[in-house]
Amino acid sequence: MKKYYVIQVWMVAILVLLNTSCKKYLDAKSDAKLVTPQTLQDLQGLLDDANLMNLKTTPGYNESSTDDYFWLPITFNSQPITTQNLYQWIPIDIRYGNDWNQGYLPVYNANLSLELLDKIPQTAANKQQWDNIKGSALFFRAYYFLLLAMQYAKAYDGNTADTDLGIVLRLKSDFNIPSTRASVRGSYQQVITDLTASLDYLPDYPLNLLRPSKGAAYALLARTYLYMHQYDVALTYANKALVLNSYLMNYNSDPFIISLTTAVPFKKFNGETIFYTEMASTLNLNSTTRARIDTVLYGKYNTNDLRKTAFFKANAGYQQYKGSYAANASTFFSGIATDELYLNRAECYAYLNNVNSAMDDLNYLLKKRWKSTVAYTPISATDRTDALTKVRLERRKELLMRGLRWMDIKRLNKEGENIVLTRNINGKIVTLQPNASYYALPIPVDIIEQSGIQQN
Amino acid sequence: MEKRIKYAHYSKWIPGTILLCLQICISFSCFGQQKPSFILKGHIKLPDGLQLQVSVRSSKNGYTQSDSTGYFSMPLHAMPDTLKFSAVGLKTQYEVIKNPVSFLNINMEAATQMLNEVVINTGYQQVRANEINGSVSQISETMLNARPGTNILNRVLGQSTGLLLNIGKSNGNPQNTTNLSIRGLGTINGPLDPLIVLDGFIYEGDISNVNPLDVESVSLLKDAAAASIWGSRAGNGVIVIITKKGRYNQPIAIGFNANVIVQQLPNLMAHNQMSSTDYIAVERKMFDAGYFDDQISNSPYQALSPAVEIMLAQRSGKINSTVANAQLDALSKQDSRSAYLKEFYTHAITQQYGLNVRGGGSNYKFLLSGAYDKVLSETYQKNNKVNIGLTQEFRAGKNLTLSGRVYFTSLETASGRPAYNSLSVGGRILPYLSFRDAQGNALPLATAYRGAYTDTAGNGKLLDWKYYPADDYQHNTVNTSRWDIFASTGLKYKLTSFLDFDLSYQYQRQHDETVGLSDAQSYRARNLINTYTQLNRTTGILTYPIPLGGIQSLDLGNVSSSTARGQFNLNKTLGQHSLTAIAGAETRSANTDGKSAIWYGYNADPLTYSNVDLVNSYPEFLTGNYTQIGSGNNLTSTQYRFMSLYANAAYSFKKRYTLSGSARRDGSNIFGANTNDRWKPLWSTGLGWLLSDEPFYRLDWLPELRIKATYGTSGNVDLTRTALPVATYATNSVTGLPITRITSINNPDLKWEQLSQWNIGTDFTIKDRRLQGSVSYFVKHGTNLYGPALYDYTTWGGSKELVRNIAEMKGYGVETELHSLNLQRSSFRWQTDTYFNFNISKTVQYNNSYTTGLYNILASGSSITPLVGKPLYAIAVYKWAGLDAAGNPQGYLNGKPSINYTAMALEASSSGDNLVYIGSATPTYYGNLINSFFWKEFSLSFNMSYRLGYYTMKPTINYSRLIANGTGNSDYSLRWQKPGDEASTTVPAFVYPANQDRDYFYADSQPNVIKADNIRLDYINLGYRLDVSKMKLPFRSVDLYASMQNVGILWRANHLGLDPDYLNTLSPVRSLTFGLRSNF
Repeated sequence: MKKYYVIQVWMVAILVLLNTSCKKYLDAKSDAKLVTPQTLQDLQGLLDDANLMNLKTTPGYNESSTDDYFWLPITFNSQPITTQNLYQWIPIDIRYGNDWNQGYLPVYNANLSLELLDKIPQTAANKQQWDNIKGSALFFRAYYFLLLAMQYAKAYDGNTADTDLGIVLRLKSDFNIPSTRASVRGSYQQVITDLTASLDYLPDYPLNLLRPSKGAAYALLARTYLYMHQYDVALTYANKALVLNSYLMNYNSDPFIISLTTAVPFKKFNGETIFYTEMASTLNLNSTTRARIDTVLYGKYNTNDLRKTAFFKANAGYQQYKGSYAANASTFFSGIATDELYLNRAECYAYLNNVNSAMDDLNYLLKKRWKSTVAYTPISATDRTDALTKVRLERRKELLMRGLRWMDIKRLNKEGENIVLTRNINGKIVTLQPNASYYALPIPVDIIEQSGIQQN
Repeated sequence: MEKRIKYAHYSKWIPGTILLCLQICISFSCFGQQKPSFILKGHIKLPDGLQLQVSVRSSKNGYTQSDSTGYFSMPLHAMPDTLKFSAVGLKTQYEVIKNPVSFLNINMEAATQMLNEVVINTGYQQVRANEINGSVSQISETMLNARPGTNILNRVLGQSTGLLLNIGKSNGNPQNTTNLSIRGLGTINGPLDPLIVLDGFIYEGDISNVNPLDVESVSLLKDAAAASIWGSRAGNGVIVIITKKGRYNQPIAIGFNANVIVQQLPNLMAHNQMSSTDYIAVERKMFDAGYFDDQISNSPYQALSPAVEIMLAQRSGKINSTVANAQLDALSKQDSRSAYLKEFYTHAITQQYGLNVRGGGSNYKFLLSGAYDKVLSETYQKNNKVNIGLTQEFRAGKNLTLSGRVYFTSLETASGRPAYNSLSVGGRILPYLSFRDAQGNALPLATAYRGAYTDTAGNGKLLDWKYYPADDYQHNTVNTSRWDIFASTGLKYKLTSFLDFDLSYQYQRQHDETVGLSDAQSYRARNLINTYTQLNRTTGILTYPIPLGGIQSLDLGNVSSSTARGQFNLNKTLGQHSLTAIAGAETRSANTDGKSAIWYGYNADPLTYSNVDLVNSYPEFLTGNYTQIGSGNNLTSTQYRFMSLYANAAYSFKKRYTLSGSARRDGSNIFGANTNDRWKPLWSTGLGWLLSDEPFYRLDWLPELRIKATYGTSGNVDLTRTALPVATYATNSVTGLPITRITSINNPDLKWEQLSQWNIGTDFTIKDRRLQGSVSYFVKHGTNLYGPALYDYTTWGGSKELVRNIAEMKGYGVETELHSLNLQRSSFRWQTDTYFNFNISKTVQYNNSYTTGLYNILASGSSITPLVGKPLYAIAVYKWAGLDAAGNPQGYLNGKPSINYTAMALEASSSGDNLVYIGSATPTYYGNLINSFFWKEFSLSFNMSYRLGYYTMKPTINYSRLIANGTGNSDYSLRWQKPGDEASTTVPAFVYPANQDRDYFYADSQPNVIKADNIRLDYINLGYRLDVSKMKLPFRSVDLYASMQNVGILWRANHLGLDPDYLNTLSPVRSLTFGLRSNF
């Protein structure tokens, strides 16, 4: 009998031990690096993940489709058929591993951060961090929504913006919510709503340029309103942004310039940069090695314009681009910088018929790019139209390969500029007419299959 | 008579169908009753410590059983009669009764070395093979010795049913390292490895640590009933490895083994490398078309192949066409394969030595073992392994047994020379490399940069920037040292005569230290230093962000695990009822941690290093791009915990009917899961019937027949699948700030995978044990299986797929095992072991709109691709309409021959009408046939393995890849070249620029799928046992053996002479083994 008693004690002891220690034992974290995000630090970490949020992430299909570059026949002929088709604005079967998924990934991080942030009360102690997360998340979402709209939606046209198809506005992290396409107006409105809201939370200046700031939000608002043809509002925001940062590099001598003649002329995170992102290289038709700069465009740079040296490298009679602010010969900077702000503001002034202010901004910018040993002759404009033409030409010359040209072509065509794109394919001329439906670039095929949203 | 009625009465308790059969049989046997004329009484003396009922069968007078004390009585009507005394675990004995005897004394001995009386160790308990209802294969030491080699898992192959080595399969699953599968597949995207158990505990280290010489037996737990005791990780079956131990009351004995294995050189020349002449002709075409011009002008430093360098030199006028052609001609006579063979390959040699000492007294037993392996691989990698093991058991009093075991492994590995095709020039694999010039000097290879450029780039101020493969491996080494301790201790306390309590604890720790050293002369160090060297062109001053000297990297990795287990063992026989049961609880933790670091400017003597700036970016010398110096620092740590409660019971009545069941509940710290989902109950049940033990059983030619059936469930959990979004922490190198990255998004609907398995089988023995065997039929059914479902990745762009419980699979198969003694003469014996497997695993359901068509398995077969109604590894290809008159491959579009590849791809992915289903890509029928001959002191055996009923895709020429990265294929020489060729070849004409769609169409079309069926001669083993009795030697036995492994393919279905299992890699080469095994 005594033996049975021993057994019972054993069993009871084991069961008790198991019940009490089980839960604790199994609550240990399986990987010390893993978290289920819930703290402010976790959320800030999501937004600080520059490799997903900033670096080689912004859409590049648009720049691959512009007229700032062309291919030599030898380049064209050695490309696979699909790439050749892309070059001629023929839609191809694009699937996962594209601008769509790279563009919506930051949106997810932003959405998740916003949802989880709602569960963390804002206190006096955490206010600074809490606000930065809230503002950053809103900014990132707006930033990528706008970039996606620039690529996948038609240019904003006040008359048709309610019916033109915009982008998918994902505002929640739950994948069970089906994707639907908003209107173009709805898409731009969401960008403005998020950006306006972010202003209440963002700091004036960021800890580093990979983080959003109030300056970046103002600048992005200026860009958004410019695209919506609301030049007066755009002007207001451009001014606000320039109050926070108005630095322009002097190409003659500047701490941020390595040397105009080297393969990489500018330092990374230079003084003009307000918010730093890089263009994705998934399609990369405009890669610096393949692409040659449009000869007409190149011809428009004055000999004494230092950009001619800084931006371009001659190769067998043609020019290759090397002016990226990414300090890497094969990576395109696609963020926000002060030079764009000056040009935005100049365009607003010109459009609003303030020709003098427009020319002042333009000359201020160009003088910084002019060889100091040669006297700079300021540009002047005869009237509003002339001013607009001059500003927009300088815009193209200054901001090439920054992911802005495609949107500029389509928005300017909406204003009647009638820009026809042409490609010379072994002697055969292929054109893309203004306002062609291709300006809203094709959405990846698998997204259409899975979500059922309408293709462009 | 009384007993008979009792049986019938009891039989009511036996369920279902068996009851019916039984009653019919019993009633038949009752007709044979005659009046007794004489009652025989007797006593059976059993070996010490045994208490069991012996069956007594007369050839004329029926059947009875002894009682538990050994007494029996039997009425006899006819004489003479032969009585057969038999019981499980005892040697069957016959007694002829000619005249009435008053009392018969029978002495029975324990059976030894009888196949079906092997004791099987499931890791938790020891069960006799014929008392287990589950399906288990046991591989004995002799069978393990048939294949030499240092890895125990390789030795298990081809010696049982159920186990298949999946060759050339790759699935993106970290728990797929062995490529072994037991009874096909049970999951689609879950873990694929069987669970490995060493001496009762899950083995987390590298299984190659275990020296095969120390292994006594290996058991494969195949069905759910056998494996379920191992719980949620046993879904893919369990491999239980048992090491040798001492025995009580055994005088000290010493065992010794020494052998050497010599391998042939790999057959590189059989590799489908494109000919150098063809290759240079293609490069010429590309060069003339300007393919390299972009690169030459944009990045003049980037490497060009030797042929292109010559063409460039000719074009720029540095050499004339005569010189150029002569140089190209010389190149075309070179062959990378022979260059590699000469410079980097050797005959691999493995030496193995093992020694063990074992013995035991009445209260103590031990085994001490030591082993040393020395391996020189075919590419000169060196590998030295030492194993030391001590196993002891001590009886401390009547009721207490203590045991302990320590197994220590030390392994030192040194890297060798470059393997075939591991060297490239500017990313291109070339067929005409040479590593030394005629004088024997090492030649540079332009792996990344052009020598002509780097020579002048730094005005002579940089370090030599060339890579010399023939020397570099001496300066660029990786050495790994490992030690591993696997220790366990146990305490067994006998609580009552029938109840034990076991307490055991196991601890393992494997520590790896990998030191990578690129010394100052190494290309890697010189290249990195040069890359970051800052040259002030005006002052000529050089600064070195990466200091001069070598680079040393260190990786430390630890894998540790511990298990604590408390278990009750019950073993009770009450009359004809016996119950064996175990119940216990277990906790396990498995931890890994890793650290890595890197030192620049390293010098061994005097030992120095320098700190480098890891934060700021520096312009690279050649590109000018600003980059950071790579930091090799990293820290990792994982910790998995499991907790289990389990019970297993087998009730047997008269040793004839066995009912078994097991239940287990597992918990783990799955990350991101709710606590409720962390526990998973699993169970199994089985029924066994020893038919031949029934009184009515009269089949003399089949003296043993057992039928069994089991059903059970097991689960699979992939610890990376979670219900909450899971993020991992890292540090951003640019900002230095911590980042969190979502690795899997919130997926709250995920459930555990569930796998159930039915097994019905029979074991039988034919008279005189001339033929023994077993047949089983099993059905596996996996539900709630994980699967990547395409989803609208607008939500989260991190993946195009989301893991969901979307799949269901069914597998079924037959396993047959036959052991026959074909011929037995006084000095000659011939026996055959046959293993046959038939197995198909099919997808039953896959809730993913994407996977409805054959397009999903287009030219697939190397990874699991679920498609409803098709095997998990399956192949479909484009229908083939031949080459057209211009050498273009034609498929079908809307039923008509077409060369519109884009449209055909579209049709393939939508309707799939232009595709044709081929079949399974893993063997449907497979097995082995082992014939062994014994003549006097000689033995000879050979093992033929067959793999049948499957297909594979043959690699072919892909012109786009040939152009883009230089990957050639010898099919190039078979290509269409002139009109008319389409009648004799299927290889398309070479076109430039290449059309990727055309290339993929051809590669994925009918001509490139081959039937993979083959029969191989795995090994021939020859043994000679020295007759030591006549010699005055201290040996008890001496065996000499020789073996040839991977002898060759005896038959293959394809007519191209290809080895279908190794189309993308080199076939295993023949090896010769010579060895000596001795006991003294």
